[in-house]
Amino acid sequence: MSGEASRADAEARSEPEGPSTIPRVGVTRHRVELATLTLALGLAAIGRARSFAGLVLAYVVSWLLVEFALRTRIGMHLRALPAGWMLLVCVVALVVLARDADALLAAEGLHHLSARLEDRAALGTSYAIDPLHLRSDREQTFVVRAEDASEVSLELVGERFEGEAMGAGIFRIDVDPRGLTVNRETIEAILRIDGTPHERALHWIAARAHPRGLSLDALGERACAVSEETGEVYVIDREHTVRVRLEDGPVACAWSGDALRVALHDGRLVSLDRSGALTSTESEDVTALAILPSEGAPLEARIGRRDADEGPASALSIVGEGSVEHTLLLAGTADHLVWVAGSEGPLAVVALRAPSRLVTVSSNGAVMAERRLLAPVIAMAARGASLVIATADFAEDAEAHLGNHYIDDQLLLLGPDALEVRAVLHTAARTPRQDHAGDVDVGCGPRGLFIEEDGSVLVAFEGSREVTRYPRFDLPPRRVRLRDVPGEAHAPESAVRLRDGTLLFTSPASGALIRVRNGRVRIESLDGTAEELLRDRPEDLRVRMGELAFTEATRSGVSCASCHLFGGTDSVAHNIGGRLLAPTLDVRGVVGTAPYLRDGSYPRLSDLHEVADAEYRGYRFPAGDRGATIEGYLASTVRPQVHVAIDRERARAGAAIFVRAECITCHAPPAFTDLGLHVPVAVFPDHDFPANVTALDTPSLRGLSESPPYLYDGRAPTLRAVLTAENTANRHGNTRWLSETELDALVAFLRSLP
Amino acid sequence: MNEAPTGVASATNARAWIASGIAISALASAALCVGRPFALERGTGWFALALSIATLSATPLARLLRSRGAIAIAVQRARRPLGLTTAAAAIVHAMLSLVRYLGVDGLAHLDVLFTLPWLTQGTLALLIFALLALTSLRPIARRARAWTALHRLTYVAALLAASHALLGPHSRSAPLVALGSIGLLVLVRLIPRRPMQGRPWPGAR
Repeated sequence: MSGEASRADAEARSEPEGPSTIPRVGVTRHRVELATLTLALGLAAIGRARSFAGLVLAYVVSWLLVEFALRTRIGMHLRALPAGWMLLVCVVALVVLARDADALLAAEGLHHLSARLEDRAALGTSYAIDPLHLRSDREQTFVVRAEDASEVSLELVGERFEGEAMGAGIFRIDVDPRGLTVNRETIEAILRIDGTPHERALHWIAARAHPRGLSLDALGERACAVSEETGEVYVIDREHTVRVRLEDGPVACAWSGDALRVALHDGRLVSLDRSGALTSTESEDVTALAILPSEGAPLEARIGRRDADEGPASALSIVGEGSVEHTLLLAGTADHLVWVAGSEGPLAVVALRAPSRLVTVSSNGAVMAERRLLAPVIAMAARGASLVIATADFAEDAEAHLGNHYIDDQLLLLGPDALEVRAVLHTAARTPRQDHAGDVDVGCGPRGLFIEEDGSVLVAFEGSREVTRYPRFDLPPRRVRLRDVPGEAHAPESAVRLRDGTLLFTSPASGALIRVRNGRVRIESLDGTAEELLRDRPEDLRVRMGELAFTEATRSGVSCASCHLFGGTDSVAHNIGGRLLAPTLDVRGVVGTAPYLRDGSYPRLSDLHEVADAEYRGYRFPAGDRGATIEGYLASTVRPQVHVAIDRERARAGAAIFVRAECITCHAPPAFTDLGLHVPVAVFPDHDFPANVTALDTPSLRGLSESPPYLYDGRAPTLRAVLTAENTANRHGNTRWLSETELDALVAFLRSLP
Repeated sequence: MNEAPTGVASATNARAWIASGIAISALASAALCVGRPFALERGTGWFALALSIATLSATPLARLLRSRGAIAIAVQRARRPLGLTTAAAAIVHAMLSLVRYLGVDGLAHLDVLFTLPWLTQGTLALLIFALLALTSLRPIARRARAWTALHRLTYVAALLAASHALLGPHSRSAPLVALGSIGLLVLVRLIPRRPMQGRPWPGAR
């Protein structure tokens, strides 16, 4: 036999095939394999192996034992071992191991894998589009990844929306669905790539009425509220509600004498007369307004969005005699605006976020006082010289409290001139109804404030489902508990009292207006009752229940909405579960980007309610499957529109740099995430991580310009800092070699991401 | 039944099958990585995964080609070198990835390999491939009596490698195809074989 042949024979001998017998011990190879497997499963079951490594180790150890046995006389006994018994042991061991299967799957990242794979498959499709749902009530931007395409468009219900190239094979398609007529939950979308059609299914989310933002007229006889989702303004008196439909969603309303001033979603400001007819339209970019009645022309303060180089900014305009007299640019996002009587005249008070602070501005446009706060203002009200705010953290001259989502709901009474704190009232409290020491069940989640004529403060507590009247900060409050009202749950968001004593409040989550008079509660459902929804639109009921669950306080007083203000973010950092101080993520439109949370520890949105059980002692009242309903609600939200003025050419140049700097590797379009977990030290080797932070989920970059500060712990105040000062190791993108011009272009691209 | 081929012919055929397996694996991994960032690290990873599937395919393929004796033997004999190449590719992939993701001092951060499931699974797959490669060396293979039982771990290693690719942050649908292929091969392996009529090829025990 030649050398080649003998080598081939040797190979074959070393790779046996078939049920042959091992020499000297006379045991078949099948029996050896079965014995090894039996021993391995037995060891794994006894050792309660909960990882693949444990199972493999058990097998290798078993193999070593069998190998040892085959070299000794023990091996011969293998012949006598009945195969049936070995199989029985295998079955028993498998049953024992199966009891820990959930723990094993969780440890190996395979728990609820289908949810993650579904999202990956959707975003990995060629050509991928993000998101895969469409809200009926507002413009949205879809992003499409089509590297080799020059023209992209989207057809929805016969209407065509053209795409715009963002560079690097990324396209944005702006869609305004308000003219579309859709009567089903899923709509077929045709994505045209260079003329070739590709079918995609989009989940259609119908708008539901969300009455919010009650504002009382000067006489105290009527109030107004808006529902941006359904494009309605409500004029409400003690008995009736008049619904006025507008062509765009109203975001705020206020009375100006008999007329109603309404800010629309698209930035316009319109006036309605007593009958609800449109009388004037102004093309101002207004998101909030406050009107101070006066003997002459009312003084009007308006907040509008502005673009600043380093994040969102707000413009405060003071309008008198019908024309803008003063405009002031303020850094951050303005959430609330009121007029208060200062010692030297009226002052417009603006509550801003990122960073959280209050600013007072005189009617001649001068900043009179500014006060930093530890947490954003959740609600604000003024009457005369009284100014009251609700916030979740406060301390004089101190740093923000750290801790597990530190939330300490409280009201602050402030002096109007210097914004000094005159009184503090911690609202969250425990009543005899609460059965766990240390837990709270009232005064949680203040969302609406109203100061009555006698100085009493009316507070709508969304989290604990009550409207409470505080006669003074040091007197016991009187509560109207909505939990005691038969029927479905409500979460009050704003409250006013009419002159006749009727207490009026809105519950956006349940789409209801609620009147309380002489202890009698009357609920007016603007979006159908729960029974009606269950019968006609069960999916809408699921979303409604989810929104209610999102706002509901746990036993510790914290709700999802405590940090995710208005479904978005409070723009401050929280120490989540004691692990890592991290800025709150905006949860709107996150569906389809599993896994979730900073460390990617939750593969499904429906699992997120477990956070409430694990970290915040759970809910006091049963409410069906909160996980499913919260998932339904979150899946109905969409990313907010990005309003930044961007040089499109520069942004397109930035797209090429986005690819060259390898950002696209992890922040992969169209969702700008790879849906994966990374080792912190691999991405940020120059940062110090707590030992218990072992994974970082890749966040989506969509809407980035709206959510400073940046990075996992909010250490980067600007996008440029993310790419430079916080990337000294050059592992979070290859940005070290970029010139200043290239960095500018890259930042422009990132800020342009819709 | 075909006459058994000579050793020289079968060895030549085996080389051809090895080359084919490697070429197909290389093409598959190149198709997934060429022109993409991190192509080298990922390419070697895909290469190792594709090779492991090629290795596992050898036996079922040989059975399928049983009627064509010489080819079946050659395919069967390609299994070992394909397996060794798999281990080599996996090691190269691990080294490149360590340097790429953790820097030149990556060895100082080896603990991170046990922090995320997809990294742990990749590490475990690598360790198994290395163990199998080591025990495939002829002096060890000849001495090991329960050699076959140990080398059943090839399936486990391939599944772990596919899971590593599936859970890794950069993957799309390719790992699913790999996982499906391996699952199919495991099923094929579980199908009872027909009793052998004599020795199938020279050297088999």
